[in-house]
Amino acid sequence: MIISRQILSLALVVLVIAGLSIYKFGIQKAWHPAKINMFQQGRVKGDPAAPVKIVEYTDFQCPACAAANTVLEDLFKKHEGKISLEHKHFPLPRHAHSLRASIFAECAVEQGKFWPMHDVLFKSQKSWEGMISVDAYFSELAVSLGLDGTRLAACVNSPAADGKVTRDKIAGQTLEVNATPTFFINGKRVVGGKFMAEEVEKLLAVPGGK
Amino acid sequence: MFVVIRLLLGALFIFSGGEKLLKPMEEFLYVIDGYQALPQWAEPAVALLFPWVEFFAGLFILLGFWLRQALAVLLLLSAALALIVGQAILRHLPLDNCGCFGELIHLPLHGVILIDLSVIALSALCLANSTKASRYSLDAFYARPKA
Repeated sequence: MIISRQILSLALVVLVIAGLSIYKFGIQKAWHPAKINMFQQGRVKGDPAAPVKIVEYTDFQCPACAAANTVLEDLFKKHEGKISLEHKHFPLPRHAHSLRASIFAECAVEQGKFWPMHDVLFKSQKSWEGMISVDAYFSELAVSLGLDGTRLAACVNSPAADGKVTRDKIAGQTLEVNATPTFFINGKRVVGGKFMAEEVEKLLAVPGGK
Repeated sequence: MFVVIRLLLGALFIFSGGEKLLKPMEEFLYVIDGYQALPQWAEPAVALLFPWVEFFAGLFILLGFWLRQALAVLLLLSAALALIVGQAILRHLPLDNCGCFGELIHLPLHGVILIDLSVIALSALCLANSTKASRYSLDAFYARPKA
């Protein structure tokens, strides 16, 4: 017996939708909001008890991430004390200098200058994205912020900083982060600065930020 | 030759749709928003449905099932994509990646226009020669004389 074209069409559509949905459901079950905060590495801006907690997976060479950083700065000014931001490194392989930028920012943590370094890397992105080598430029930026150049040089060439960046990236991959900037705002995923700002405003419009 | 073109077109769109379907929907929503071509209220619906249309059009073309209809859908889809990417190029929108294949393959917008135009040409060619393109397909199986 040959099944009719219509039944075969319907069966194909139903089978594919069911198969893909089960697969996606399996992936979503594998990540849990608790994993968002795994490997906390002390890069939190604002009050950690703030009602809106943002975890950002970002890439220093991504133009959209630089734009999102400006949006975040405005949100911090507008909603002082109501937002906290945790930075997570997610250097994309297609950006030649992202990993080095993340390593320099990571090394600024131990000298208490992570956020100034973070901001200056984004603000100067257009200056360094086309360079062949960025180490000397990043060192200059760091020293201009008051970092100790000798300590920094030792750190950026050690495997420890690279390891911390890699751990962030692995954590992001387990959360199905593929693009930057990806945000988890009180556990909800949004991608891009515009959607992040909308979600933050929406949460803060509700008393308690929930 | 038409069968090979049909298989390639089908595989391309299964890959493109499947890649988006397996990734979080928010990533494709972000891509769509970057093109600034749709009203914001329509973006989530398009982000949800577009990958399914791509995937099923690709699957049906690959299997050669409802081939003419699936090719017509592909033609419309590719024409719409060419228009959306074209307006982004004309408006100099700051998109360094088309988002067509998620984060797996990165193509500049000019490259995407070339791919879209090629897909339009190849789909039209298959549509005009649908009998030849239907060899080794489910349509051919259903069209065979009954014993």
